Parts: sequence; structure tokens; C-alpha cells
Amino acid sequence: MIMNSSRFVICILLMFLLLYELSSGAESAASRGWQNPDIGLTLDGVIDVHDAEGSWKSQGITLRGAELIVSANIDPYAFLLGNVLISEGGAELHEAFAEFPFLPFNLKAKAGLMLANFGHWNRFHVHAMPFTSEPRIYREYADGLLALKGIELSWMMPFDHYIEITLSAYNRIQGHSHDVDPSCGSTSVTSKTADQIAEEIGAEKHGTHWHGSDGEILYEEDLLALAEEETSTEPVYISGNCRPEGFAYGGRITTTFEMGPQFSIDIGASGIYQNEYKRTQKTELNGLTYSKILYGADITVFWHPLTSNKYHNLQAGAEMLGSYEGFERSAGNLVYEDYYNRIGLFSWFAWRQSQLWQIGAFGEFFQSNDYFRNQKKRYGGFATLNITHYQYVRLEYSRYEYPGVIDGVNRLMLQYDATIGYHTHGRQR
Amino acid sequence: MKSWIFIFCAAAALWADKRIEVVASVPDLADMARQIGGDAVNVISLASGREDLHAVPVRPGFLPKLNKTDILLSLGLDAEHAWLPALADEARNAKIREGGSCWVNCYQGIEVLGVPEKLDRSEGEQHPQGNPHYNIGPQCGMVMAINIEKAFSNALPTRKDYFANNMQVYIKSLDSLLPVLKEQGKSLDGVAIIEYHPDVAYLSAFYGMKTIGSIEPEAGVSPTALHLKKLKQTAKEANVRLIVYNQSQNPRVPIKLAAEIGCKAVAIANAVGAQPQITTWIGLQQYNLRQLILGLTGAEK
Repeated sequence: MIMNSSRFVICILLMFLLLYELSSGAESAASRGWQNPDIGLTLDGVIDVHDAEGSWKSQGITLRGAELIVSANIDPYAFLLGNVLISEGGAELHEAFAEFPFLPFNLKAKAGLMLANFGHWNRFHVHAMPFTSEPRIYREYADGLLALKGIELSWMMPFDHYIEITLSAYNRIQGHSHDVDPSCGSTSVTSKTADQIAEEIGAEKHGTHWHGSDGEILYEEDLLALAEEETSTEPVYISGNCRPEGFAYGGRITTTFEMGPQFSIDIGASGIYQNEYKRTQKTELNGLTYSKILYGADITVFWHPLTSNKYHNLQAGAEMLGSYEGFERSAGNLVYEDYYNRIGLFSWFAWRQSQLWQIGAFGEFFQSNDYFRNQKKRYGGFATLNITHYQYVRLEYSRYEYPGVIDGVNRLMLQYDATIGYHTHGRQR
Repeated sequence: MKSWIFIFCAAAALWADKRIEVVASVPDLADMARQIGGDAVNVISLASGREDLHAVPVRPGFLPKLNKTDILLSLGLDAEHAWLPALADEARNAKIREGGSCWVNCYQGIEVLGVPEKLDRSEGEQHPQGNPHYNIGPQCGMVMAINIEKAFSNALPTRKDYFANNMQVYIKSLDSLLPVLKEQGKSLDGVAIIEYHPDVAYLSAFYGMKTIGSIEPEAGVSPTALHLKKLKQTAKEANVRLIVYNQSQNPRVPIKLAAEIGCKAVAIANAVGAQPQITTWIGLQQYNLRQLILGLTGAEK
């Protein structure tokens, strides 16, 4: 009997313990949400119409991408962000980096796949730019915006005046774009060949890369490799070179000047150098490599009237980009390396007319990144209807004049962007 | 030996002279910080007070200020969510990041109004924790000051008594302010108003005004013609006497609407510094009352 009573008491105690555990478990399950990362999805769709080769043509509505961003603090020391771009051709990783924002001596480090801290526009997500089409200077000299794998170390100088210096090391210089150019990539012999190979294997072009039938991402060199590189004897870009001379090394310095609380000017200068950027395929040149320097400077002016910033403001800027790159040239039986220095300038302004409307214009002049040094130019204007902070519709007109490639192409783009969930671009402006 | 004594005294003097570096998001908090901190603090404000508090233009020049600060005073409740957390994350100063030990939310203890029942973007740009525009509510000053004094005492315990004395003086001025405002604002009790954005809730609660609608259909959303038509109808039925907006909002819509309804559009200030003559938080409360009374009666009190 005593035994039974003690068992009864123990059973009651166990039941209480179980109930306590269950209730505390329910509580922790309910509060687990705080551990979830921030998630946001931005849809970017366009209707793109142009009159290349004399007639108006369009692919109808194109989903340039649905950008899925997941981010959160890992712990008190680091932050992690992943950005997957889902498009009609499949999904690809656009950004995946860890950031250590509070290192000693005012340092900040970033490691992984990231939009390189280079120039003004390179760090912008395309949908966050005030215009629809990407600046062509990046496409001409870097094959698009630089989403690079590497490490960046930034130092904010301990002065009252803001100056920040970034030093970086990346796997290689490699651009990336989802904006289709009416010139259809016919700027070089190799990309034409890549187009042909892509057509043969059923890969679909998407900006500066292709999506294979299984959704895999293929770059120009991948396509050339698929064709066993027999179609071209041009130098190939070097991937996976883990020797110090194979990496690309860069830096950027930025500062700002304020003329009262309403006017300010941001100034920056950037450069990236890769010693072994591409390698010859000609056996007689014995594995000769070619280097590349990408350099630039940018200035952006902001006028934000304090009392009516939401209704009126002006931003204007200019970005110079240059490329000093080695090319392989043939003259008769003679093959030799030749370095071309090419520069371009992109300038723009965006005027906020009201809470709803923003208008602006852009223009760029740049030399073709080849022997011919053709003067290319592009200019246009845009009007954006900001329905709310989270969605907008934009109409953009631009005209492309690429002597030697295309002449006088008119392009109209109607863009729709919408964001759900958590989405921020930090202190970007 | 003498030189050691000298070094010790110099070090003690330096320590005693140590000041807390304070950055306030808005001038309201900066003013209170100066009143309570006295000569033990160096205070600057990021916003000038003329801006929309949700849309302060961010300048890189803010970063060195945040980098060196010991305390960051914030309104909290997501009032500055569009600009302050991103700056704090970039400032290389871990203690002032949002949620960090020196990020001070000055709303702690305030009876928060307008906590949304449903969280959904179809309801506009919501503040999940409630309405953050408490800085224009006279009843909230005391709590704001208490939070600031607590933060200073924690940061510099050696000057705790000094802060407490300054606080007593400031509390006295607040204590004498509130009954005067209540008395002078008696005529506002029960007055139906339209607001531009849901930012006058605390002011209305203090004076007993009744908000019957907003020019923005939902917080942060631009007014549409259809919404304004409906609002006009509602305003006439509810006998709206004032349309209240602030200096950072587009005056054209409230002025036009007021003319159509037959009431007054009144521009108040959303923060200290919104107008050149508003240099203190107490001055802000007096200015707003003056504007409201002027709108209601046409005469200043």
C-alpha cells in the first residue's frame, strides 16, 4: 500500500513535470520565430521593345528576375546574406556572403560572393537603380556588373570627416548582366561563336550568360569549352587559378563633402587588377597570359530639401570607367600581345517631382573595348510612377549608337517592380 | 614622488572631466539630453527637425559621428526604421547597433497608442509596435526624460547625482508645463480633426481631439482622388474643424481640402527645429498648441 501511494505521488509528480515540459515546449515553439532570418522577394518584369535591324521586335513580357533575399545576424560578430535570382531560365546564386561589421580599428570584412565594392553603380541591385537598363560602360569593359567571389576589407578612417578605404581580393574579374543588349552581343568574334554554340545545344541567352536545357548557368568560356574550343583560337579567360598572381586585387576610396544639410557630394575612385586575366591558346606563345586593369572614378551630387525631401529631390552623377587589357593580335604570321586602354563615361540625373513621380535622363560615351576603338554612345530618359514605397512602374526610352556594330537602335522598356517581405539596401543612396 | 602625484591628479582630473558622447536621432531627444546631461555630455542630433522623421536623408557624414558616440538616443517604435538602423550597422560601433547596449529607445514606459491589430502591408506602412510619433505628445515628455537620465547614469555612474539634480529641475519645468497646456487647450476638447498621416495621435489624446480620418488612405500611401472625395463627405458629416499637417508634408492637399470643407488647415511642427523659433521640446509643445488654437479661433493664446 505504501508502495502504491508512493507510486501515485511519483506519477502525479511526473505528470506535472510532463505538463510543465509540454507547456514550456509550446512556448519555445511559439517563440522560435525570432530565430528565422529576414526574407524578401522582389519581382522585376519588363516589356522590352527595340527596332534593331530596321523593324520593331519584342519578346513580350520578360521576367528579368525574382530576387529572393534571406539575411540575418549569425551571432554578435557576423551577418549572413544569400540572394538567389529566380528567372525564366532557372535559379542562380547572385550573392552569398558573410559580413563582419564590427572588427577592431574601424575595420569591416566581407567574404563570399558579393557585388564588388567598385564604382558607384556596381553595388546596386538592378531593380534599385533609378533607370531600367544597366550602364553600358560596365558591359563593355567588364561584361556586366561585377558579382565576384572574394574578400573585402574596409576601413573607415577615425576622423570627423568620412573617408573609407576598401582593399579586396577576388577570384577573377568577371561581369554579369541580365539586361539584354539590342546589339545582341555581337561585339566580338568569340561571343558570336558562343551564341552559335548556345543555339546548337538549345541554351537560352540571358544577359551575358546562357541557361542550359537543365537550367545550369553557362558562361561564354563554358560554351567554348563545350565545343572543345575548336571554334576559336582567341585567348580564354582563366578560372580556378589559385596562385596569388591569378587573383584579382582591388581597392576603392570614397569620401563625401557636405555643403549644409541639403547639398552633399559623394566622390569615389576604384581599381581592380588581375595579372593572369586570360591565356593564349596558341601553342607557339607558350601559355602567355594577359592582364587587365579596370579602373574608375565617380561623383554623385545630392540635393535633398529637408522639409520636402519626400516630394522633391535631385540626384545627379557621372561615372568614368576605364579598361587596360591585353589582347592577342595577328599580323600575317606574326602573333603578338597588344594592350588597349579604353575609357567611357556614364552620366545621369533623377529628379523627384512628387511622392509619386520621378523623371530623369542618362547618357554615356565610351570606346569599344577592341582594336577599332569605335566611339559608342547611348542616351535616354525615364519616368517612374512610385505607386507606393514597395512597387513602381517605369517607362524608359534609350537610343544606342554603336558604329561598326549597330546604328541608331531605339529601345523602349516598360518595367514593373514589386517587393514583399523584408528588403533593404542599407545606407545605399 | 611629486611627479607621480602630479600624474595621478592629472589622470583623475581627466577622468572627472570625461564627457559622454551622445548622438540623438531627432532634436527633441537632443534637447532633453542637453537639459539632463548638462556639461557632462556632448550632444548632436542627426536630423534637423525639419524632415519627415521616417525619411531623413542619409549622408555618409553621419557615420563618423555614430562611430565615436557612447550613446545613441532613438525614438524607437520604428520611427527611424528607414534610415537609422542601416547607419548604425555601418558605423563600426557595435554597442550602438539596434538592440545593442547603448542604443536607447526613449519610448520605454510610454503608453503606446495605435498598436495594429492586423499586420499586413495592405494596411499601409505599419509600425508593428504602435504609433511612434509620441514626441509631440506633451504627456510623453516625462518618460522620455526618465529614459535619457537612466542611460546617462548607467554610462557615467560617477555623475549620477549630477544627472539626478538636472533631472529634478527639468521635471519641475515639465510639471508646470502640462497644466498650463491643458488649461490653454481646453477649447480643443472634442474637436473633430483630420490628420495628414497618423502622427497626431498623442497630441489628440492629450487635448481630447477626435481624429475622424487621414489624408493618406493608409499610412505612407499617397492620397487618391476617390479617397479625398470620401474624406470630404465624412468630414462634413462629422463637422471637422481642423485639418492638421506638419511642415514636412505637402501643404497643398490639406489647404485645398480645408477650403472645400470650410474649416482651417493648421501646420504644426513634428519635432524641435521644425521652425527656427522652436529650439526646445517645451517650446515645441507651446508652438503646437498656439497653432491649433490659432486655427480654431483665429486668436492666439
